Amino acid sequence: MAVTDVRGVTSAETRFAPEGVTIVEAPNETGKTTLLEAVDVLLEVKDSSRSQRVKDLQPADRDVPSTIEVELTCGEYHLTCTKTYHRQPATVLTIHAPTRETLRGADAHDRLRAILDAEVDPALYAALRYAQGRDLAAVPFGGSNVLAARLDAAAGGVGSADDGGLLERAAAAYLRWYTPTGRPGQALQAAARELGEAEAAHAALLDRLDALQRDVDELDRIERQLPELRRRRAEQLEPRLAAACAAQAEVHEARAELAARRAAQVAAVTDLTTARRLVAQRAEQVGRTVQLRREADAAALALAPIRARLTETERAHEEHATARRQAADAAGRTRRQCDDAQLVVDLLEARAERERLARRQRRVEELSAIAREAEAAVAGSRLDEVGLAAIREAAQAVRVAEAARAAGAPSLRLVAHRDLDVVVDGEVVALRAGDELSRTVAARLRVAVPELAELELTAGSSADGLQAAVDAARHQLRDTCAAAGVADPEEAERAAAVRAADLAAVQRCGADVARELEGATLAALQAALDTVEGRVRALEDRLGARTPPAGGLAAAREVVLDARDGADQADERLVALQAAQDEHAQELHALRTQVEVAEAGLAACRRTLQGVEQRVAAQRAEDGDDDHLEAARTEAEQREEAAVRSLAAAEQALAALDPAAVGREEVAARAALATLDGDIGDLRAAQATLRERLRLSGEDGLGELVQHAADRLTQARIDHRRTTRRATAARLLHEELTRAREEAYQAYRAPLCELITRDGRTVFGAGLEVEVDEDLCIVGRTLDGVTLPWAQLSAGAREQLAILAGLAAAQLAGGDGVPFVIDDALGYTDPTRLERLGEVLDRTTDAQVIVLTCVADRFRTVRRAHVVQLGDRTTATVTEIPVAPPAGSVPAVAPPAGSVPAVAGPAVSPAPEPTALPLPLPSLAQHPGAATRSSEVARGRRRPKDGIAPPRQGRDRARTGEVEARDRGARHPDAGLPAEAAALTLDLGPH
Amino acid sequence: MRFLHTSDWQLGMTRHFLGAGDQATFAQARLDAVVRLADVARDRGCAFVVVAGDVFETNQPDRRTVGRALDALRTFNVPVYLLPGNHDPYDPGSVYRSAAWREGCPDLVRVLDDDRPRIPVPGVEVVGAPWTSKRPVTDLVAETCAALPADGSLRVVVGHGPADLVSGDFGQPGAVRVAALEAAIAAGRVSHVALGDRHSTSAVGDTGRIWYAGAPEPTSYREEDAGNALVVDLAPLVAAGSGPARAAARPAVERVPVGRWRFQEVHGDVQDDADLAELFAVLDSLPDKARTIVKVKVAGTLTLRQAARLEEGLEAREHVLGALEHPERHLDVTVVPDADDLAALSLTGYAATARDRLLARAHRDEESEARGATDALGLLVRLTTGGTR
Repeated sequence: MAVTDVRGVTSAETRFAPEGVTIVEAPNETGKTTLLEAVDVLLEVKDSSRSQRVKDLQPADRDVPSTIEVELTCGEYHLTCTKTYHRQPATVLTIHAPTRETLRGADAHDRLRAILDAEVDPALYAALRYAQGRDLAAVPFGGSNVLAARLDAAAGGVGSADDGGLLERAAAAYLRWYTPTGRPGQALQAAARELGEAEAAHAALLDRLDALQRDVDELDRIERQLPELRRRRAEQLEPRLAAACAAQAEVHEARAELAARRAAQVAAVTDLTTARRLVAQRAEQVGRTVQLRREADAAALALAPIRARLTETERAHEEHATARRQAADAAGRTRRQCDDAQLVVDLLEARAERERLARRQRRVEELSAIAREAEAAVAGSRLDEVGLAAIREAAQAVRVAEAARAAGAPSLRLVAHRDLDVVVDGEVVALRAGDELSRTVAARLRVAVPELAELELTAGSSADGLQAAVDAARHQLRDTCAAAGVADPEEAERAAAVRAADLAAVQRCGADVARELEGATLAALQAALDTVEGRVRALEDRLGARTPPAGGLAAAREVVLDARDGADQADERLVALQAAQDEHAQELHALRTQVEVAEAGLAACRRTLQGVEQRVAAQRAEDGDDDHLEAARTEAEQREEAAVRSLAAAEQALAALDPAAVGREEVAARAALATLDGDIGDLRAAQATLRERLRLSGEDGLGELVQHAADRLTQARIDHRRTTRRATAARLLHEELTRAREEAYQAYRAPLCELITRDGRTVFGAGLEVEVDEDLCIVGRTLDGVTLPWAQLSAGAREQLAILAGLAAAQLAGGDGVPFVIDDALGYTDPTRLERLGEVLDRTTDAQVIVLTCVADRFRTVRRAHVVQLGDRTTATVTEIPVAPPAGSVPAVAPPAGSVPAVAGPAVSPAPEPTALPLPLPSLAQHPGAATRSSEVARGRRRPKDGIAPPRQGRDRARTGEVEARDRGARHPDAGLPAEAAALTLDLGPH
Repeated sequence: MRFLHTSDWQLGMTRHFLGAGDQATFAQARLDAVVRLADVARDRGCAFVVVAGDVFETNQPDRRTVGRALDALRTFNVPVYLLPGNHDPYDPGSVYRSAAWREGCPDLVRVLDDDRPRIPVPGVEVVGAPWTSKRPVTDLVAETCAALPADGSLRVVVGHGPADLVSGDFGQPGAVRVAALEAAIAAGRVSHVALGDRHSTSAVGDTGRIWYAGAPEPTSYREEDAGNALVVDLAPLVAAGSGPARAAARPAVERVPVGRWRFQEVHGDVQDDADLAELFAVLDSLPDKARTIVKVKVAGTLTLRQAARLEEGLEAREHVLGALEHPERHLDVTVVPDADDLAALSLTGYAATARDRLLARAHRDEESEARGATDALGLLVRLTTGGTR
């Protein structure tokens, strides 16, 4: 390559060894990377471009055109392209082989692109660009078709990755129908859903239509049946009922006749009974008349003796009455005699009473005189009770005083042992044996017992005072006695005794008077005497002349008693007579009553007889005579018999009609009619219901709806079949492709792994194993039995392994490959490994390796390397590179299409941002298990992200001319390759 | 005496292969045909019109169908007698009993809902043998004829059903027994029998008095001569005394085309690209494509690429024709990958492996697997030749 006025490079020309290692050494900032970028711009960008990439090429301080020239080999082509940018843009393409031609301008650019598109594996081109500091991930070769083809060939040709995007399209076709996880996608689901819905809708509508048709059929049946039922009603059931009703009417009539005849029979019986009763009544009444007559005669006959007896009795009764009156007269007389005798007695008794009363009156008067005399004596005495008492008191006082004096003087106490008289101071005192006599000796005392002795007692001289008292007392006594008109107490005593005797006489007389008066007064006595006197005179008046019988009262009383006896006897007799009369009177009364009763009975009997006779007469007048009645009875009996016969006949007639059967028939006929009417009613109701339902459903247009549903269903079935068929085809194709691809990958990553391991053992030692995944990324390293995943390896180890992998890939790609560019790398590598890596590089002869470095010493062990010093601005000698060898000339690989000879890749980093490079995901690298999870689909989808649409092997083979080339262009309008690599053969120097 | 004989309007009929728009066009075409029938009746001086059954496709049509039918019927200026057929029997759910019909029925339109004679013009009787259920058990037409007086008067019997002589099925209940009709004609009971049910216009028997008018617009591929109506000049029967009548002359029956649509089946034996091209040429040469419904049936052996072409070619023409029916899988077409296919499939590596496996499966006996593999190969061909589906 050669550049003029590109960035800071005014002019430079560099040649690269077509095979083996070319080391481009230059200090930093001297344009190594600029050279590589310039190659990329030339290959990709038209000369007229004003893009930033182009602008960046222009030197900062000068407005000059930038010219780039590259010579390269690519497949069968060997060409030189020169482009000038910024000012006077120009492009010149000179094809040296296979046919020499020169193109300019846009044609030149297009032709260049076409050649590159056909020959360069862009994935490999991108992958084999290793720069220091690029993310030290494994180098991804998965997108490289060239590599794949070589690996495929190395593995025995089981497969090829050069599918031209076939798998992507197959995956896209698959994903039209299925989800990435293999479930039916929206289109399939929609088709199935539509089919299901259409089926359901159609079935539902069919059900409705069936139901409607059933309704129609049912209604049709009903409407055919109804007239039939009506006809049956009119032609069968109604006549039957009418006949039954007529028969029933007949039965009713017969029953009425029977009832009438029964009534007639009952009437006949009643008539007969009446006739019989009349006959009997008449006979009975006639009998009664006879009986009554007989009874009246008998009564009249019985009355005569009773009447005779009555007459007799009346006569006897008169006799008895006379006797009784006589006896009564006698008794009256006797009673009067008795009364007269009593009057005598009473007179005598009244007179005696008068005497007795008079005597009593006199006696009272005598006594009253004596009393008055005594009372007068009393009244003449002055000494009364009081005076006496005072005298007695004064006497007592004298005696007390004397006693007191006596007490002071001797006292005498004499006790008589026998009755004797004693003379005390001349006073004789009679003593009875046991009596005692005590005396005080006032002055002296003498006591003589006659005939026996005398005794004198004289008191001492101290008795004066006492004597005085005695004297005073005595004085007092005298005064008192004087006042009383007495001389001394004895006289007083005597006077008092006389007075007492007078008083006693008074009292005695009073008592006698009272005795005589017998409680009454003298006046009353007088009144009684007067009354008696009056009685005597009255009695004497009544006696009148009648002289009292001799004998005095007693006789009189005798008379009375006798008279009374006579009266009593008369009375007794009268009573007896009266009793007899009373008896007669009762008998008479009874007889009279008997006669009256008999007479009354007779009269009643006769009256009854008369009444009966009158009634009989009246009935005869009314009902006819007895013969007539009899005739009537006979006739009634005949009629009754006739009525009984008639009734029997009617009963037979009714029975002949069989009323039960007639009734049953009528009931049955009515029931049948009712049943039929019920059926008709039911049918009519059902008819109305169905009509209404049909009317309503008729408005739905169900028939057409069913057609539409059926159409939809048919279409859905077609769509579903079509969809399913296409989906199945897509799935089948996709499955087969991915399966085959997976198998191929499994087969052809082995050679890559082998190459890496072989060279790696030079660097790491014999104990090295590497693991490469399906995207041809190194995912792990095993060293002396210790396995580490990629991410855990040291930066140096990863760098070394990445270069080893790139080297292996470049070697595998061989003639179809692209330059392996190592841009300023191996900064992490220790000298020992650097040295060994240099040895590996030094062994590399079948690939073009370009090393850009600022420290050439790092690669000193690459002894066979071409070294180019950049910056000395000397033009290196161009070594002629042999034109692309024929197919098969490249060892170890057998490119299926055309030969691509040695490649010298432009050592320009096409991507300023290394991280933008698509790299295998560390997670995938770290977890091989995860890598297996990435399905074929995922892989297929990721591929386009690589941005590389590799040329297709098959097409290379089929390339036959311009048409084919045009087709290719047409079919890859979207190639959009980020780097359109060219096989560039740049040789450097005389090496 | 001239009348118009038509039948089988099948109003409300749909066809699944028609899209929604074509469906509407198809439906409108049938209504337009009715209007043209009115024109024919007027132009030819027909005294009346008989429609021998199946006026409606279903007894439960959409209200719009009924409304538009009534609208079209209003264009007639002579009496029109409609006979209920097997699609629209006069059963309790009959469209003719619906409120929409009764309210909108024009005065000149009568439904032959029983076998009473109608007198459209003096001297002519129209007697219908209507279907009153979908499943008649007797020959309605023959029964109706037998009940008519043998008086030799001008009498048109309108009937519906398959004629045994035409269908060849003599035991079918409800079929029209031609012999009975001819006997009735011979007896002077009937002078003309206007039949419906068969969509192809055709005379039945030897009398020239028994006719199927056919559908005024075709409805399927099977119809041989659909799209017509018949203008009939009644021929009087000549009575020979009181005995049986005999025909004096055959009636003049003219078939008048009224249909616009066509149903056409295209059969093709395809073996190579030329055959394919011819098939497509036939399709492309069809006139009035928008009103032509085509069913394609092909047989032959095709390569993968030819099979793909066949499918693509048919798909491309689907939108030009009224409808293009073709089976999803042409069972009579055998797909055999040929050298060109293999050239198109000149794949390498795993793609070649996959291809070979599919080829192997395509030749297996198990039919569904073989078909699937063939389809997959077809897809592979399309994908490798630039297609994406």
